[in-house]
Amino acid sequence: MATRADPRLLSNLKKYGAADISACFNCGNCTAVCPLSQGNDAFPRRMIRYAQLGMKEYLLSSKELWLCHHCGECSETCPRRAGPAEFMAAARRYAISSFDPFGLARRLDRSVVSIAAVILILGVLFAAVLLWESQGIPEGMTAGFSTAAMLDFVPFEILHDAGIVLFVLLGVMALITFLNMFWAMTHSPVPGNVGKPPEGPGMFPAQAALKAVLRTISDVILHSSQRDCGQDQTSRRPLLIRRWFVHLCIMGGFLGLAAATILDYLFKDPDLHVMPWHPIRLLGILSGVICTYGVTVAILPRLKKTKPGSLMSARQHYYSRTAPFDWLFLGLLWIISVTGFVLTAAIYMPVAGSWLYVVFLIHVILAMELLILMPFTKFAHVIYRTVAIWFQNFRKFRVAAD
Amino acid sequence: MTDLEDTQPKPENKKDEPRVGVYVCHCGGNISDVVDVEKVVAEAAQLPGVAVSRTNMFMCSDPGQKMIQEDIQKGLVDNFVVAACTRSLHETTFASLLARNGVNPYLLEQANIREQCSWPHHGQEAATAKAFTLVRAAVAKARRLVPLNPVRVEATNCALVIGGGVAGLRAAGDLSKLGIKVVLVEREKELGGFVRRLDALYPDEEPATALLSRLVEAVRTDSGIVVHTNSEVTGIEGYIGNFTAQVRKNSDSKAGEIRIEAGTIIVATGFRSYQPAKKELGYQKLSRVVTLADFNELLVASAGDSAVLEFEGKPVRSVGFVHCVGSRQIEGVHKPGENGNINRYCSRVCCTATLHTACRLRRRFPDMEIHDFYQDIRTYGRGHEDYYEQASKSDVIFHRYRAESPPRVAKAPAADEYNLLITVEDSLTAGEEIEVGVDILVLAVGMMPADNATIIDNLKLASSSDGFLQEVHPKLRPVEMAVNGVLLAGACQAPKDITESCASASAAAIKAAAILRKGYVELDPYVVKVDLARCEGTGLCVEECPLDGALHMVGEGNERHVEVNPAICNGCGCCVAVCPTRALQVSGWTLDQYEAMVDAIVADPVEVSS
Repeated sequence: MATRADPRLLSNLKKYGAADISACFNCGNCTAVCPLSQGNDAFPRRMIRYAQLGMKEYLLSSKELWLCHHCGECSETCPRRAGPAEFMAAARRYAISSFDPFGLARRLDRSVVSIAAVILILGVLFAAVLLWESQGIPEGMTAGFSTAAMLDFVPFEILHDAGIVLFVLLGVMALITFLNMFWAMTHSPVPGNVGKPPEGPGMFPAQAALKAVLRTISDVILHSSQRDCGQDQTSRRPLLIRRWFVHLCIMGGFLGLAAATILDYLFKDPDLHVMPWHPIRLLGILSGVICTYGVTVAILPRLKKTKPGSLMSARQHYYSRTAPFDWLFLGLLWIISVTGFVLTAAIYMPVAGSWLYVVFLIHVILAMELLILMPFTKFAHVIYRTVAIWFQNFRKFRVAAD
Repeated sequence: MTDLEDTQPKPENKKDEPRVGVYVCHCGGNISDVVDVEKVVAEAAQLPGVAVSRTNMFMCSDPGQKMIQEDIQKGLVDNFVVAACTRSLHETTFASLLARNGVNPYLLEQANIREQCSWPHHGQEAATAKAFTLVRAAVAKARRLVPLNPVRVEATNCALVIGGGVAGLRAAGDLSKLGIKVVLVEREKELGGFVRRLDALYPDEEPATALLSRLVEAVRTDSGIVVHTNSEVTGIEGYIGNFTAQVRKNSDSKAGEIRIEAGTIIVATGFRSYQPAKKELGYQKLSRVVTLADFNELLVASAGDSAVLEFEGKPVRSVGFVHCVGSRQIEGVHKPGENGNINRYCSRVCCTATLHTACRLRRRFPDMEIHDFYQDIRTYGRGHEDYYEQASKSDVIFHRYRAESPPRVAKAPAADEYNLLITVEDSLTAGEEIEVGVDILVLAVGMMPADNATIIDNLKLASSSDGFLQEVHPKLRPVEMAVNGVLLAGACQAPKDITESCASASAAAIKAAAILRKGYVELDPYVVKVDLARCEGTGLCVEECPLDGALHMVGEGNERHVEVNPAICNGCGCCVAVCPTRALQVSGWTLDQYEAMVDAIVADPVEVSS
């Protein structure tokens, strides 16, 4: 079945940030230099081709879209300065919007006003819920700031119930987007992408699927593909600011904080004051430090202004193209990390003041917003990238077994 | 450098016998690594008639030439043998050395002991023996060399330019400025050729009308240029310096034949556009499939502020361009044309012309869909790539097809948004089939050789396998034809754009002026000479001669004999072979010279040297 050429896809993608991609003349330098492109992938050149011709299903169902770590090598090599790396980033944002049936991702991507409005509306909503039965800011404050005081301000039951509702909602929405993407991948028209594993004796699919799950978990934990990818390999930057390490810090810190919160709930009375060396508290503190470090290092180079039109290195190029969509995720994460850190410090130090309760409120509200918005922001890559890596591993095991 | 004792002048040489000098070259080691040069020199010194025999590391170098010069100045040598490389490389070097020192340059013979000996052969003994054989033959000929003088032909101070397109106009204008009278013959009613069909021109966007009016004005107002429009060359004869052309004037008022005398001819007959085969890409079957020239005329006709391009009364929302139509054709895929040939070559101009049109279209209609179907983009000229980049950046969608599977064109179903549906296998994905809706499909048709049959037949010109006129040498003599005095300008030679056409026209004009400004032409003296005492007037030679007018019979009865026109004769020697009385000899290559060479080759070298 022939595909109808449609220029609208390309103009749409330009709105998502692929501003220069029309200049691409499919020379394939990007493919040659891409550390991820193997065999006949013709990646990322072919992705761009799909966009130029309007082959939407092909583009959205290419697992390579999510395997790219935006190292920027291709943009630096591109003879027409078409920005293939920025195209890939834009295509991912476009994909997040496409797999989101609620239309929220598209709004968050396109306009800063929408982002502000959503943050504000959700903030007011969550504040209303959380403060419904608040006992207010404790008087006198002579007792100092403490966990117990915080939970007087926002009652634990409300926090707990709201959290559960939040997670159920999130689960449903994440599942919908996940299924959307999974369906697209399994029905991909791209030959040999993921849809049809090779015929033959092969490994029993369930076995391949399981092996792929294990391999995917190890890939994600070790960041193996990002570690081997492009810039980090060639630039020999110090480990502490290499992108894969920074990402590992953010992810590890985030997971550590999540684990601490769950353990705290399961094994300890949340009201109870514990010393910093209590194992669960220690996990929380360390994870918070690591996460804050990662997010800060990720943000700093993005703040540097580059002159428009100047010749930039791939790295500068990468950071200079940070879209509001990216800021939304990074910004939320940073504020949550830093406020969390401040609150923890306040518990063990002789400081007090009503501003701490405001900080606490902001911390909780933004954390809830970060979670509930997960399928509609850059955070969604947690789903899509993992699924794509799984598909890649699944295919690898099927082919290897053949 | 080696001077052998026994090769010193031999005083016993007879006065009337030319003394031969033999100069054997090492050519670095190119020769001496394989050939024992010293041995050849020593043996050559023993040959009869040889006065000196010397060697040098590089005979063409200053010290090498000085060695020969000293022998001339001392009066030791009359005729010269240089045993070195091929004549085509250094004959001029040594001939002009002789001329500079007051020696007739035709008293030189070269023995090629490099390309014809040391390079192809291994084994010193055999190679040395062969080198000596070649030197022996050269010495035998050199002993019989006589001074020769170039053939001098008076030239008519007029150039005939055939074709009044940009190339012809450019050549005519340049020639007149150089003081040469010009007759310009154009078949059409108006001057300007194909460029009259064009609009803005790449790479500087000058309107075609402005460019043409400059060229035409210069030619029309020049009193040194006679222009015959509506006229056709029906016959040409003659030779360099003295051509005569028959021209038929077709205009109603002044119909009739005229004769033009010219010293040189510049052929500027241009090209003809490829006519797509019936149904090729829907051409002539679907009215919305047009050629690039047609489309340009449509754009010119619809000029103005209109925000919409209209065709057949409907707005055009999407335009497709197809490259390589009638160019880069492949056996088995494309049907041969009327001449039985397919056009394997690239027409070169169409890529830039197409992209230029696409860019102009985009500027006028920012929202139009523009599709470009190509095999390869060959925007080779300075500034041409900019059009490609500009087209890409302004969202012209490129579709790369493979030559074996060109786009398929069909009328779109009535319900479709567009009028035509183009189906193309996109070779930049995994060959997926892409359907493209367009309202007009523009075919970038290639260039084909113009019909030059009359000129080719009359002047016996060479054309290449693709039918375009062929120059003598693609790099060193790019605007000259093998027939002396006939020059090439513009696209009659190969597909060219205006820039290239004008460049070749100016080059041809300079070449023509170089011939005509002197008033005479000097040609090689290697032409046939008649020994009237021996000629019996059989006329066999005239029948055999491949060149019209080189030989002709004069006189009656016993007086009947052959006469040579040295301006036309090229010294091929066909007549020499058929003459029963040895009355004909090619100067510089006479029969007794040949025989002496053959004798020297077959002679036992030991016997000769004894």
